[in-house]
Amino acid sequence: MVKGFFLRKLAVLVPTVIGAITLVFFFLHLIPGDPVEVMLGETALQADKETLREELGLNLPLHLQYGRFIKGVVQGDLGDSYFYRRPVVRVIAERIPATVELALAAFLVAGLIAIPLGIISALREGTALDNAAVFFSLLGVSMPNFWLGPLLIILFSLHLGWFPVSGRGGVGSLVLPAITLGTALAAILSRMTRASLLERLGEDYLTVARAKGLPEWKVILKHALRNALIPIITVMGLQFGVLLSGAIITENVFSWPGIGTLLINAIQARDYPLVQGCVLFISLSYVLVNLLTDLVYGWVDPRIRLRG
Amino acid sequence: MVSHAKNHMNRVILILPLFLLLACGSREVLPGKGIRVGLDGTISALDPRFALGARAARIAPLIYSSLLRLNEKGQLVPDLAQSWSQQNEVTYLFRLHKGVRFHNGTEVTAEDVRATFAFIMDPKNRSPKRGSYGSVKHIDIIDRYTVMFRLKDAYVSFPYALTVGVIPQGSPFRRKSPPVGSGPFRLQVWRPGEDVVLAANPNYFRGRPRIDWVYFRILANTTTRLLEMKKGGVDLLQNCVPAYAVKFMTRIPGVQVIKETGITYQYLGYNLTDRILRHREVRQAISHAIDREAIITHTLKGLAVKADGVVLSPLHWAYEGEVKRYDYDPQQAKKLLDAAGFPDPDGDGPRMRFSLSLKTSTDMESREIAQIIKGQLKGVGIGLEVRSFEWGTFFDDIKKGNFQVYSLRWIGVVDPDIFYYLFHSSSSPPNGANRGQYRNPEVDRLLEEARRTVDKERRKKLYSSIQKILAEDAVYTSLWYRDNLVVITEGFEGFQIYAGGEYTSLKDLMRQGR
Repeated sequence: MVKGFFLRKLAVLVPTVIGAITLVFFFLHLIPGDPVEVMLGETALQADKETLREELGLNLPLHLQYGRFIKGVVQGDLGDSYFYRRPVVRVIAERIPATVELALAAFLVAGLIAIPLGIISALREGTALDNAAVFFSLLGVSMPNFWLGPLLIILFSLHLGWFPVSGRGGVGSLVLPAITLGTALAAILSRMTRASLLERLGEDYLTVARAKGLPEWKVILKHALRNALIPIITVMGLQFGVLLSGAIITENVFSWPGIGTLLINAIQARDYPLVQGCVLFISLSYVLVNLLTDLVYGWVDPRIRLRG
Repeated sequence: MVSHAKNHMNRVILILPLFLLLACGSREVLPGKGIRVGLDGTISALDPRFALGARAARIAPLIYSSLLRLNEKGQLVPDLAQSWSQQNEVTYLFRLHKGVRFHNGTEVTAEDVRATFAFIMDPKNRSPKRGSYGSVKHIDIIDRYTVMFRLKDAYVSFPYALTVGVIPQGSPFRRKSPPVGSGPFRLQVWRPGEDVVLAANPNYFRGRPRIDWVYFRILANTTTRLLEMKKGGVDLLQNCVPAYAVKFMTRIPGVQVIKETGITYQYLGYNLTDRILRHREVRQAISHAIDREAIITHTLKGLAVKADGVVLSPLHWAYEGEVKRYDYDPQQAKKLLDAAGFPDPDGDGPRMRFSLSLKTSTDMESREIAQIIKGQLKGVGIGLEVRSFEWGTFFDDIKKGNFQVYSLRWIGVVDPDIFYYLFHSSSSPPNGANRGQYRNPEVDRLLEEARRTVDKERRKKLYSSIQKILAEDAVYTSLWYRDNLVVITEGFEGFQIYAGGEYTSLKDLMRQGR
């Protein structure tokens, strides 16, 4: 049954990843810019440019280039980065720890803020506390990262001196980028938690639980929240994918050496193999996180486990 | 099953913060005295045989010594070469300093010089610098410390190609760790996209640097860069502080702002095949219609000098200032447009004589300036549509001639032979940067002669004539030369601004106190 579940998931995941990298492959070739000139420089000899274009296969028709690319992907060879002149896989591998670290930290920040806030908000529906939580959520969603980041730097780095302004080194350097990246997610999650929990609070099985004499905290956390978690987990799963891939602005603000800044540099340099590698990483992250989310469903609610 | 999964999940939740703690590497504490320098973007390569781009070129003289190098005025001076001479039109002889050692302890010899350039010139190595050595016929080793370059034809600008860092023969390539050099600092750490750490070379042949290390940090975001300076996270920012932030920098205690006239030339380029812009009077009118002084004062906060010459800065030996000038004169602009056959259809009314499109990058300052120029041209009856593009797209369009007017700059021009590359009729892309398709047989002749002329005074006269014609033809509208702007923490002595923005003078920097 487990095997079947994975096979079914895989049947969806493989085309998803191939679809994403295919789209990127063709779009990338549509935008103007010559990677050969980026590599050899504007003053290079025309003969050298042609030789290199041939070596890289850029002179081939697009469908043949695509075939070579897919073959490389299947063999685990993404080619060499034009910009860094090193294997794409290695360049990306060096950046993954920073990106994963930031995404996990932001996820943690979001969870730690959102779940308690959502619970309090639901339990105190319509009170000043609930309104304050709604206000926080609106604020969190509305604040763009390129604005919130510098604001946090000014407050916590310049005025209070608690954390470094930017860069990656030590736990301190992770705090501000994680808050910047995690705030919007926290806002969404807290609203989700509130709404989902409110739906469950009127259910009969909670009355039964209370009638059995269970303490209120246990009724809320074990019975209500657990059942309310399904939609929250769905959003968390999707958002974790966003955190892995969408930290571009946060990484830029905090000079965080992750996949986001790598991707931006690669696009600017028309570094096709590196852009394709980054997109492959991002799409794989999405589908794997989604798979993980499905597994977590099963843990939270055994009824839907492995139903696929 | 559920209980097992639950235990596992609990474990994950417990381990997560610990993982985060461990995953964060700690930044090393550098011993001794040093300087932290902020950079506005990443460096793709440090290997002198492959490194392209201004950032790498500015750091390179700290790690690598070269036969010749550029001094603070952008002039060629000997570096590894103790002496050099031009034997005849096609032969250059270099005698090396004896006893100079690479960072790995081996001695720098003529063989290393030959190997460095032979590597670049070998097509199979795909060096982006190969094009600069197309004129080389032979590199001969005369003795252990003497090397001779023989060219196929006379090419007086050839010595500029010898500012590439010399590395030990047989150095591997395509490696993350670039080869060693013999410069004042040796590369200690390079994390692409993050930072570069250099440590003083105690055996540097011109004497050990006075500081122990240089720490370059990539700070691509402008706001972050400025906040790092305020916080004291970096000590030096060179040419990466926007004009609007200079006032903010001057208010930071313990920080000094230094500005010096620079050589970065900003201009408007024209497509001379365009049915409107092929009229010289139109280009001249545009030059008269732009109030450059107002833009310099209000938008660039005085951090530029109005450019009357063409491409070369007044600091350059071949600069010619006595060229046709285009002072702000809207009335003259209108007369020229009338003469070109583009009368204003309704006087001061809303209808334009014609409309053009100006392409620029997405850089905030460039877009702002483009909008001001749009307003100024409207005053003489020229409509202007400003179109800003992501850099790669913008530059590709410019190289393909897919533009009417574009705004761009030339950075670090030291070799006057650039005029050949920019304006000779054979230099249309992809052979050069004559993007506007300028054709002038007289200019072609002068450029070809200047290339072959060894006598400096004669060359100067030739380049003077070239600049006069280019200004008369208004091939470019010269805008301004940007100042070099340095923001540095107090307590450092000896930092010198180089015309090309190189960090060479960090080897002579002294730090008081900590």
